[in-house]
Amino acid sequence: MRDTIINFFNYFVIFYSGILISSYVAMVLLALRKHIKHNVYHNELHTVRLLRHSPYAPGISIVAPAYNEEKTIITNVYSLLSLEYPDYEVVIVNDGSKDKTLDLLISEFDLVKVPYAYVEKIKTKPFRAVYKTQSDNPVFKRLIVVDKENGGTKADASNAGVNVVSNKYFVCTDVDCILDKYALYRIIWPILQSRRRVIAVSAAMRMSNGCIVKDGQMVQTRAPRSLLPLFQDLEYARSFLVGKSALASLNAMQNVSGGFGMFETEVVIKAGGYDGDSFAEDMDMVARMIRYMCDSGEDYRIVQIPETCCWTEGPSTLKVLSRQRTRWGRGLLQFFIVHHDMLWNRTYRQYGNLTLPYILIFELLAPVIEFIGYTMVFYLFLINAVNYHTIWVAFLGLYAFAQMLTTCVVSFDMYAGTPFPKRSNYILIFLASMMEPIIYHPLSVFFSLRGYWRHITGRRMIWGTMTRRGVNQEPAKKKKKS
Amino acid sequence: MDYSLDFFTYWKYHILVLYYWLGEYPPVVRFCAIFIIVNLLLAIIFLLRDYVVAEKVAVDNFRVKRYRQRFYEGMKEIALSPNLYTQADVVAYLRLSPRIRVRPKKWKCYVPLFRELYVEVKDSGVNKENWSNMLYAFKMPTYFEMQVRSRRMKERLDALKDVADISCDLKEATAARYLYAKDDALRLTSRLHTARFGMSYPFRVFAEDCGKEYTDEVCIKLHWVLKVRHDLGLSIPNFVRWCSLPDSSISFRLFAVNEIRLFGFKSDCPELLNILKTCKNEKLSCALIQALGELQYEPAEQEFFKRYLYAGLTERQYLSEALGAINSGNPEVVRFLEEDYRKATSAVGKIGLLRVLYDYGEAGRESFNRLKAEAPEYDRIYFEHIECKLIDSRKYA
Repeated sequence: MRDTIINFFNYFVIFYSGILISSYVAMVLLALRKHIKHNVYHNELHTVRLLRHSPYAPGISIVAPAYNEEKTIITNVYSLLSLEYPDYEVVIVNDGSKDKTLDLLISEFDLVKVPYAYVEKIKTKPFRAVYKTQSDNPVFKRLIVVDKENGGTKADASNAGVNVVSNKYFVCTDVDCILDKYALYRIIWPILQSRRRVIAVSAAMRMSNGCIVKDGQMVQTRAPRSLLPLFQDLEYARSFLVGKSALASLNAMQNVSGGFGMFETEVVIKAGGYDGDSFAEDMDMVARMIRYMCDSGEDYRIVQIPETCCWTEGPSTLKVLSRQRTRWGRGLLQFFIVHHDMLWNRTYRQYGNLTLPYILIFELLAPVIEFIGYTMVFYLFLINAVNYHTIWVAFLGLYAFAQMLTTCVVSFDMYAGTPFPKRSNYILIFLASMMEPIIYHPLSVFFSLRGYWRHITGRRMIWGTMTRRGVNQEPAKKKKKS
Repeated sequence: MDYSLDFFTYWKYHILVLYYWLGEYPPVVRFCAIFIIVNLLLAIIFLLRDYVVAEKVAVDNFRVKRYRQRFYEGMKEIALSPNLYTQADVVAYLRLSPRIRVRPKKWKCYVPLFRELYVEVKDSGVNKENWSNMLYAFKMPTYFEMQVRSRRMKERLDALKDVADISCDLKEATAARYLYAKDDALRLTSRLHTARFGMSYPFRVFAEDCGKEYTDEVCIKLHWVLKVRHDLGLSIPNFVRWCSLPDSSISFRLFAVNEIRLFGFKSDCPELLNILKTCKNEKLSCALIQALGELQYEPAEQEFFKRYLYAGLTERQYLSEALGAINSGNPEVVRFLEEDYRKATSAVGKIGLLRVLYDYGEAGRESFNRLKAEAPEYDRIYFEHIECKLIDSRKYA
């Protein structure tokens, strides 16, 4: 009986790994095709020149929720206000901050309360007021500050922002994210290019840990200097440049990141906005938008662009990382329970028949299967039934595959217009890639499993605070010199 | 015995060694070993490629930097100078070598320099002759011609785009070779080039593509080309003609109507009104209404009143906006808007109507105040919203 179980598991693992590797290879090829196409047909400077004075350039709203962000709010808002685009507004939602976030905004931008006809198109926690600037500075006039009672989630604050948005498209971002100067040009272009209705656009995001940022502006982009953010940077690059790019080429995108993504306002409102109860609100939002479009029989596209548009600060301590990843794990399981009816459902086209099965098999079940694998190896080790040749060679095979994938990602990154001016940054990424399967990956598996467990046991989730260094800091060495 | 092995025998030998070495292991191990070798080889290939690309980028960046240091200020001086600099003068002034052969790899580094300079000097009164002579002195037209004739699609497209961006002369025949290219983007770019610089039949893009679906990207590019022609005093097409063509697509007609509005062709309004009377497409109707409103065509008011009765919500918003934009001072308009306000249920509709009333001269303002006095407490916010100078109520959605 024991041998049968072990044999069965062996064959299952071989089969599962085979499919997983095949899917990665397929994704690399699809992503490669997409990157080549993008590279041939896209000329960023030409796009900027065309859109800069065009009356056809659609207006964009940027929605950025802020909760207790007094340390960084002013530089971050200045950073958002200094983007290049002919017609955009910045909606900052103060989600009932307990610190001086709102006061600082009022005094810095000369804000006053205005009698704004706020309509609750999406239900949120009670709205308090809208603030606009009295200053004659035309840049400040782009700013709208919405004050509301604390909803406990980013979703609730984002929804309040969406209620105030006046443009057809809005970008959802975090207030601490640093956007590229041309981010809005880049993200709107696929919408203007497409013959089909584009309801959301996702763009590549990278870690801002390690970058030199001054007054909310990116002075120099660099790979993170500490290990955890470096692993995350690699993970993000892999996800955006391979996974999402490949799925987007099949119109099967699973997620538009909450850190930086553009949405069609009308569809978001009709889909009911972000779900405040969800732990994976961005993924849930996309699922509901697709559900709405498919149920109403409308055609849609969700696009991924390869250029890095947004730099976000990733967790740099294990504690914060564990909290974030546990929440993501929990969110994934919760998402699947809520949207299980879309799985293998022909109504939901590629999403139901490709994206959700992919998420189920390779994202939701992967940590469980890996955990069983680790346990099995440990058990075999205890009973001295380990075939060391096989174990080593299988491990090395997967390890070599992971390294090959990293070199691919770096190639794609360079092809999409490298975000790092210095080549030495890639050496760090390669070093991280060598350590990642041994150090970071098992941790991710553990955190995901913990998230599943917490969801199953119904343990209350606390929204932890992310400890930030603040974006307006240059690295210590530079400071000392100055 | 001859021990010197040829290339294939050498590899065959090593593969056989590997085969026999692995032969004693189970299939899983054999498969994994091959998998490792393949992956390592691929990783090495990618690494080498990454290294080469990074080197190329570094070299290009270095060249751009060097060219900038060497030429930028001089080029700027020539571009802005009121005195004429001939090609020979430019060569002498910038100490260029006159007999140098154009090498695309090197020459592509001049493009960012010209692009940057053009953006900088465009609005400060660039001397067009000097600019053109400077481009010739650098042999940029020769470079672009080489690029347009390149076998690589990216080089062709980028060259055509760069030519447009830095306003460089390029023989019409060079771009014309792609007027009927299979690739949509290349065909469009080539047609746009002809529309902008061409002298013989520049509006092929309208005549031959009017039945096609026009994306926003196409509209943006076309508008840009037309704007350049308009600013240079060159002819631009008769849009009304294209609007009323039965074969033209809705998106194309929308574009034509929008262009009439943006260029302010008031003389086309009667024809637009006729099109509106028979128009059944909501998007096109809205564009026509907006154009007639912004061009302040008063005879359209009666048609607007008629349409209002059976129009959908979106069209109604456009109608009220257009009535406000015409601003003829007609008291019937005020009565009409006031009545519509009383029937309106949505906040967007109410605010739109109130804003039109608020801006509609004295009669409109009186009506606004009357409605404000009558309004229940919960509707007061709409009036305050309109009255607040800090809020741009036109953008309320």
